[in-house]
Amino acid sequence: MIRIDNVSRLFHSRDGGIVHALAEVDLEIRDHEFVSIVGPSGCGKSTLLRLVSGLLPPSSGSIAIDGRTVDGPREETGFVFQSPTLLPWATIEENLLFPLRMLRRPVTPAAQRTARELLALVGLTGFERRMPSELSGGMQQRAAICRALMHDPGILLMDEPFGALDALTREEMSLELLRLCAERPKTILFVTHSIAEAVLLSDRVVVMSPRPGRIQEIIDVPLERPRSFAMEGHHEFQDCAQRIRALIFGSRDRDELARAG
Amino acid sequence: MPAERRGSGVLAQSVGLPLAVLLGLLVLWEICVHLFSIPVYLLPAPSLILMDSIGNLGTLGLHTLATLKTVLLGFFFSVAVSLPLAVVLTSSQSAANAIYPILVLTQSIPKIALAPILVILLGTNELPRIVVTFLVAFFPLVIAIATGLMAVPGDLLELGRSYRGSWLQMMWRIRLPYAVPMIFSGLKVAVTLAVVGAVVAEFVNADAGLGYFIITSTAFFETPLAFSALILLSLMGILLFQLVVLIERLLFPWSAANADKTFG
Repeated sequence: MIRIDNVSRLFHSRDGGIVHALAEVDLEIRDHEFVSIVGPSGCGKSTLLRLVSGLLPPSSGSIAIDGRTVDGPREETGFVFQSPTLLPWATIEENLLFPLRMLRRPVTPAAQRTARELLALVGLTGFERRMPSELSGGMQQRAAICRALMHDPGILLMDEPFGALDALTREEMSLELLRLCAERPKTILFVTHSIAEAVLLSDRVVVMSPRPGRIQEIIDVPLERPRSFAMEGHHEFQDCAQRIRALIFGSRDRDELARAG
Repeated sequence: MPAERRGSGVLAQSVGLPLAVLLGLLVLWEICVHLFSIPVYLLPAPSLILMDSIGNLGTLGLHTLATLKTVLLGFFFSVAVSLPLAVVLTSSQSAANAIYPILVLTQSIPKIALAPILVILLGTNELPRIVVTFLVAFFPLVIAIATGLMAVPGDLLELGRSYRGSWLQMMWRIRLPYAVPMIFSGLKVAVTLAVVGAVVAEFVNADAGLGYFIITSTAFFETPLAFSALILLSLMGILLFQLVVLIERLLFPWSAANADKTFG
């Protein structure tokens, strides 16, 4: 379980000012829950993810995973970045083994088998010896997701993982992620710009508002699993998407009214 | 890659054409020398340079080896110093602040002016020549390596940190491999400069080497031999450069492939 307790994060901007990226965020994420974070740019989504990953320390408040405070990157979490961030000099297989080497775990035949199984799961069988530059953007991001799963973390933190992909590949990847979650249950914290993606994938959607970034509302998605794109027509899906959209754009309208007034 | 795409016709174009032009220029040179009866000490004909070279093969060989030794030793030390220096330079801001001005200072000293002073300091032996060669070659190398180490994208570093990478792991598994293409472009510049450095040092103080040989040959108006030395120096520069290219291709094919994309 991830427990985010009254967390704030400040940044010092270059001109000496202080930016409140996050203010007093409280959130609990249960094991094997899929939680998406949506909100306009600058609402601190990525910052929240980096705080949970331990890449950034909070300015105040605390984050705990299974009762242990996060004070640096932990082996229980795997991170997927917006760009694939594969090592351009290493084969796909070597890229998948990279986490094990960094964590000083032995690279056994079993580990290599795991790598091949993960690649097979995302349809990349036969690409083990290829270089990242030989793969398309979608394939690279698939490999990056496999890499994050290599050391078998319980928690997957995904920072707009499909943000740099075209719309079709994006839908395909969403389905693959659903399949992956069904086969290897993980706790997933997923940052996205896409409301439809958030509703389709998540158990709960956290809607955030900017300046300072805070949680506006948390919306339960009552759709049963397994999910599919056919559900986009369901009224539960439409309701959720509508409410999220209203929260995001409603607040933006209010902001603009306030600024105008 | 280019080699696969090129058919034999294209190969003939890319190799044969410049070769034919070069040959044509040599013939033109030969004709002009005879036509205008230019004295040998001013401009010897290519055929004479060739014949004199063959006649003095042993001497030229010895001088070539002497220069090659200086070049290789100076180049070796420049690599041995630049790599750790660049790593230190990029490891912290205070290290950069401490080292960088000194680095620029050593670079702003004209190496030719420094050579005679080094002879007084280090004696009339091989050492001042190696030091000058080293000084000429190492600066662009340090800058190339440091630039490469600093060019690593932020998310790649964040990836390493997310797996709790130590400083050494980050250096060994991310920064250095990322810098390899830039390190090699630095090595290519440095190895050519090392030849220049060695010759400059030999002008000032030497009893052997092609630089020394050019000075003595021209002093006795043996201009054809000076030209032979000049050609040998260019050949040495080209061969050493190609050697670095070959090492890159063999050890880091992905880096060489990148270089092909940019320059090929």
